[in-house]
Amino acid sequence: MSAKEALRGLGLELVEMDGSSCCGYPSFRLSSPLTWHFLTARNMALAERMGLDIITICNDCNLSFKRVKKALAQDPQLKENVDKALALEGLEYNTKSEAHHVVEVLHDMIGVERISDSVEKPLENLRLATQPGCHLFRPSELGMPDEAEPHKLDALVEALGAQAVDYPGKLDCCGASVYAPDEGSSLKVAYKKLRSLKDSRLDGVVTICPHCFRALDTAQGALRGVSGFERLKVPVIYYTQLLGLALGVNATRLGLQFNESPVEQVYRL
Amino acid sequence: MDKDYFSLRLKCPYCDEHLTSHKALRVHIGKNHKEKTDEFMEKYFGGRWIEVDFISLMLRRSVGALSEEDCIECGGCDVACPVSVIHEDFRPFDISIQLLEGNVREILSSDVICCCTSCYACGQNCRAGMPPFDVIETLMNLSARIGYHYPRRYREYDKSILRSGVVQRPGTMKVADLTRLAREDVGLPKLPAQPDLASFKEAIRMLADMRGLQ
Repeated sequence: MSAKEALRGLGLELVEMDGSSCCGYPSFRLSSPLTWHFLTARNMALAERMGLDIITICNDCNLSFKRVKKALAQDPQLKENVDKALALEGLEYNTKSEAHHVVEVLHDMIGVERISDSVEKPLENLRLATQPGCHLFRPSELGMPDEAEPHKLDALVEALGAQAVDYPGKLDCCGASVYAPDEGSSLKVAYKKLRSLKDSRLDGVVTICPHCFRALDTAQGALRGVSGFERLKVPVIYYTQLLGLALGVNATRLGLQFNESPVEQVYRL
Repeated sequence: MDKDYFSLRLKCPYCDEHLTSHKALRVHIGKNHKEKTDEFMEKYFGGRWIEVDFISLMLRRSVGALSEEDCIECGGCDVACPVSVIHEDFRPFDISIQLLEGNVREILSSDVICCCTSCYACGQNCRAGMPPFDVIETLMNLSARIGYHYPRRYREYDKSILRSGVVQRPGTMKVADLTRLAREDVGLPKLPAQPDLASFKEAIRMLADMRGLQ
């Protein structure tokens, strides 16, 4: 929702991919790698049929596209099996379409300058932390959207007039991926991160991964009333929401009313 | 494959339940007769308690990169791991070492490997170039395949993807504890159309057959 609104403000119109499915990264990757490869290749094939590239706001989907593309290029047997299953729906996968993470599109294609030129309401006096999310820059050998020392999200935040500040544990995992098998561990990892953010006395944290967002924002709701965890009240905002605010889009159009953390502290400043 | 395995006729040897496939039988035994899993695998796989083609392929691909000479035992992977800080039993370094010592079964039968967040941090500091994340992913694959451990929520995700194409298809939005509104009412964009479920399911079934017993 916020990605659509914010990117429209930059002159980019997104088209929904009808018939698309989950890429299979969270669960099928572990239970049936073949099905995972099929699901991801299927989404690519759908984009190919539409003659468009894919933009994803999810770090895991992006990693999934990269890993599957590499695996299918290296393993003809795997490709053959996946092709057979794709053929049932009349689909073909020929690597004609590319998948891009929204950070790649914003930072590398649109460019920081064009973004800061489009800003209508600069977010001055805001000191924000960034949470790029592991799969934005790891594993580096796969050619991820950002480098081993990620800086692109910080640059994008600063383009909006805010200040991007470092904090201890910035590159640590948010714990979202173990939420399904082990909720307790996941909340502990998220809490550790939130504690570090709280202690750094920042105005909030900006993330660009839906899993990080869920872990940091929704976990604050989940941690409410759990003994041993203090209520931290760290505002968590998605980068596209922040971008939309700076471009002058109404907060409701960006879905800010659905954030569970006290995000109004960010946009009322 | 041992002949006994097929003579089971998909009836569980420990209770009277009838299953629809060999995989379902393995999952059923992992779930309902956990203490019998080893015995079952020994008996019906003739000592080769894991499908040989599967393990050799998967292990050769990722665990093959792991060797005792290469690991300098610096423990850097443990330091980088976000889970090992808060979880007593999860140590990527321990898992690698146990594997090098050949204790595959011990690792697979403990559910601790499921705690990996797949954040890839353990690989970032590995000077020996044998990061544990690939290995742990393969072990999780094996564990799920054998029927030892596959977290309940992941199973639900799988089922939901088969049913609707996605893990969750939110038709309504929760705005307060008791209030639910339709997506359109709160101005959320329409969801993309579902896959054509008949052919989608057929494709996934076909893949399941490909991975199944030859």
